[in-house]
Amino acid sequence: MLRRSPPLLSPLSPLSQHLAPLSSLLPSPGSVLSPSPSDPGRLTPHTRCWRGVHGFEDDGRGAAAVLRPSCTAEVQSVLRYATAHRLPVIPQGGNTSLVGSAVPASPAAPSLVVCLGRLDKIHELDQTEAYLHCQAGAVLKDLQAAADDQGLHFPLSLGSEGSCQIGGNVATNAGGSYFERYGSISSNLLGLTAVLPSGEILDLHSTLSKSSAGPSLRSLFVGSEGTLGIVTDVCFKLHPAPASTELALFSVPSLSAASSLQALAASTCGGAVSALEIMDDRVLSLVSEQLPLPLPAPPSSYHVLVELHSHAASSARESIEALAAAALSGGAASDGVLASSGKEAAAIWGVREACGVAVNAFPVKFKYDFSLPLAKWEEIAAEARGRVEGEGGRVVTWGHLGDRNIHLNVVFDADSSRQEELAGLLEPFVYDFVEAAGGSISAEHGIGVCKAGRLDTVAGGGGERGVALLRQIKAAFDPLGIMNPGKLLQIE
Amino acid sequence: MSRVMVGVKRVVDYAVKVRVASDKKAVDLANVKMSMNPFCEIAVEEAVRLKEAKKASEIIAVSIGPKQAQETLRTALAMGCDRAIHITTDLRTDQELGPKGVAKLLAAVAEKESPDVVIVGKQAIDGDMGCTGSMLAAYMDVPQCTFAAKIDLDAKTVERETDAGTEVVSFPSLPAVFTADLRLNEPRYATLPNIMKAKKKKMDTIAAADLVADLTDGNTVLEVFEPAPRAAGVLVDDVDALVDKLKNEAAVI
Repeated sequence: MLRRSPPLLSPLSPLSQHLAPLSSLLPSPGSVLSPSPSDPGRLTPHTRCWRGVHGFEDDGRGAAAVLRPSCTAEVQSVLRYATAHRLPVIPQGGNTSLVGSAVPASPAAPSLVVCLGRLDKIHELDQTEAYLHCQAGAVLKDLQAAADDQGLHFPLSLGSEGSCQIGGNVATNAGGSYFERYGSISSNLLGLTAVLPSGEILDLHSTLSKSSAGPSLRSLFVGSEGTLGIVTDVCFKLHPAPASTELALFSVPSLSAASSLQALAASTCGGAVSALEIMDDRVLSLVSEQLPLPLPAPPSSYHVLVELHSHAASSARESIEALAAAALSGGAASDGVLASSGKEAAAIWGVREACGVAVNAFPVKFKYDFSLPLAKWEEIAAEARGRVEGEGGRVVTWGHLGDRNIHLNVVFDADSSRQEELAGLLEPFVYDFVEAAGGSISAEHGIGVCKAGRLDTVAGGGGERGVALLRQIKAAFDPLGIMNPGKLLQIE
Repeated sequence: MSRVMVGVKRVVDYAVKVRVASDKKAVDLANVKMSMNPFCEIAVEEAVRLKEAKKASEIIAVSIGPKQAQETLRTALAMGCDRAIHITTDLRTDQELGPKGVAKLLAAVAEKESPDVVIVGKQAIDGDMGCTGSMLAAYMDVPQCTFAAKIDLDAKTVERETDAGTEVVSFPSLPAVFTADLRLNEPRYATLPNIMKAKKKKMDTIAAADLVADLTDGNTVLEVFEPAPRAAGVLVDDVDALVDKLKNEAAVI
């Protein structure tokens, strides 16, 4: 018989009695923020996700407190206190989750949102051994800049890099645009330190990548979404900085042409391809409607962004021109533009990053993040389109062509109160489709609260037996079930 | 129809964070991304628009620098210039070869090519000198219209940027030198098919020494250094603390 997590938190104690003890544990100014009826909205940046979809608006009467520890010892104190009083803990990085992993589910029950933002120190950057050891609250962009300053390259890059934190990236197994070239979080994470719910430190720090000494405990934290403990420090592998970079946006007539372009990129540019992103024309229309961005792309069904990071003597410019020549003559692309400067490259990346922002401007929106074989991309989009067209829904797709990660988004210009009703047009259809196609319902966004009930359908996840084992693992780390309850695994 | 000559300079890319070389005599250029000077992009775009509006018959792009300057010229050709002239020099174009030398070289090319319209960027983002266009007009002994935000060849007027706003000036005749300011236009992207076609366009190479004997201007860079870093800010607890600090520490309210 499976050991179940014990029932959560009974009896519930009101938040107010915890504020004074917590303030004495976290004495620095501004470390404990509590709801105040005279100042509603103050906690909203921490109680609601940035898209306004998950969590809740702080009305000044909720029961969630926001804690901002300044050091690992304070994280330990907070978790010891939470364990003693059986208070739910929601670890929070940059609060950029797209699936509600980092915000409390309800304002009713007392909960502690633990923000890691003050733990942002870089401990060490070793050029020879090529690693960066830092605290979990460091912002991804700052780590990229630190590596860049030393002539090295940080492996991770994603749309929210200006605000997301590296601890959150680890806990959500974030993917991003350079996944195909520089690898996953797991393949770049050398070590980490975590505080367990008991307050104990689990020291998994290492600066080396190779070890066959048993299963990798640190890998358990990758994608754990704050359900096992709080990651306080991480150590990441760094890569050599590219000697030259180039970026082109290809106008591609079809997905099979996109597949040909990918093959050509592999054969003409060697290993220099760092990003291979795709956008359909529908999402570019959406971007141009919503945002004052000039679109560089000549019209086409699909647009493929190819970025090269060349380390070889032959420059990225030569490679991208060879790719352009081959793609244009062989029909893989009909047209395209080359970024002639870093400014133009940033503008093209800006359009790519604006896809999610443009979708977010709609009152009713559905965001899916699937791993799917390329042959299934048009099918799922077409079927979804057929289901929502009657209600005026628009289906747009973009994603990471290189790793078969499609971001399927559906928007409605409808009253936001219809979100749940309109969901019925798409769900469970999309999830069943992905399960049947052997894909993943979360390629890089995580499970959060959105997909917690569907973890057993993910290809490679071990089905119900796999989820049961995950529950046992969670119980081993978090026997009281205080860590981010309801995220990743549903509360039983 | 006019014949147009455009100057294009290869500079450290706008998006690159520059570093001072270890000898403190220059900016480090090793493995640094280089691109066309943004104001030169605007100059090229203006020339191409003149041709598209059938006001120009031919556009000649000219760049001065090492072999890699040809890459920048290829970009100009892909944007729509007809042919290119590469003036080769081993001098560093960000500090060893100054505006005076560049103006002499461009004037020497202009003497051969007799352009009606010469457009250059108002300044390069490396040396930030901002006087090449004016010096060139002086050497060519033609009118100059600087900081152009709008060029009207038919009306012979130029709207130019000033500290106070804009003003419209008229110029007596062509040939004339125009320097491009930020608002003149929004440069286009070089399309991939045009990049392919640009490979077939003509590019002549001339050694700088064959055009101008003396390229010096008497300037020497003594030291290159970074500005002092800004001190970190402090977080205040609440509005009262902020007001207190503004009043008592900063004494600004």
